[in-house]
Amino acid sequence: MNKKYDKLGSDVFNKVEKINSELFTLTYGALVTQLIKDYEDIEQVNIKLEQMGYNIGIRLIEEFLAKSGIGRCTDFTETAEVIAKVGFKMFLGVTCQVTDWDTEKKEFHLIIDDNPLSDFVELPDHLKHKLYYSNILCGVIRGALEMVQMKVKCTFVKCSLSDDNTCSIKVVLEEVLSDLVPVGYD
Amino acid sequence: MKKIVCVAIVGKNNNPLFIQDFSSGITEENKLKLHYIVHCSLDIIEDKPGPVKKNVPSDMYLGLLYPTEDYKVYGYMTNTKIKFIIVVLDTSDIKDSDIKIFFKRLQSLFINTTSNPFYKRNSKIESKKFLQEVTNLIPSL
Repeated sequence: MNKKYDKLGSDVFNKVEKINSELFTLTYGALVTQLIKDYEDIEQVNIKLEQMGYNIGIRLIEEFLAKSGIGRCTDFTETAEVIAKVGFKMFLGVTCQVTDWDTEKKEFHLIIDDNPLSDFVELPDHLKHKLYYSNILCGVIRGALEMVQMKVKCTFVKCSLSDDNTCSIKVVLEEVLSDLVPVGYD
Repeated sequence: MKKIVCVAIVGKNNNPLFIQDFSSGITEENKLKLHYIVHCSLDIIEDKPGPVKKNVPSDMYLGLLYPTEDYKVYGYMTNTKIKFIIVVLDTSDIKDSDIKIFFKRLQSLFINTTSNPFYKRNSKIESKKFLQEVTNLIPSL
């Protein structure tokens, strides 16, 4: 199953249009520093980044499903693999690993080895362990999964900019939203 | 044997962004002497003639700036008026091409550090990572 998603991820990545990664990294960096200047409270910045990510995620999912052609996932473990191997590869050009499943298979950790958002970035000491620089990714995952009827909570567990070895996001499945009947129908 | 004694990066307004001594037996007096040498070399850079002809692009490598009794000083200036200065021991015989390669690598480390969105433009480079990378680069000359 892993090989199939790896290959699918690479294929889709080769088909999509690309831009210069430095431009992308610098743009994101400028965005984060501006947010820090505007909201002096770092917690607010984290929340805003997550909200921005959510707005991106709810739109990104359509693009993802169209380009990758993936059907419904049978269970949450498959969803995790798809996000890590196909989703991240398609949009960021890097694959991640899925680790640390809990016993009920309702939460996992996503380990990102080489996060392109944080190239060249060094956090000043007063921001380490407070600012989740790539928090936008948490929002994107939450938004995208909500559109496929899964309500999840995403948080940053470890961040390589705050002296940890890797970037690690924890994803917890809160509930599966049932397909709601649209208003107007009986 | 480390040949490079000192590396300095100076900004547009001749403000120092990074200055680090690398010789083994560094004393307080030596440190001041090196800072003074770097300061003098800035004057020499300013005296260098600007681009003479429009068609010929002016080379960023400035070459040997001036020799003192113990040291030789080399300079490199980018179009954004950032100056890279290195001080080497006079006894070492280093080819110009090696120095150019060293400057290019130093410039790329500088670019990586200044691309940090939290780095304030034209301010002192405080990053420990940059210091570590430059220290690792020194033996390559």
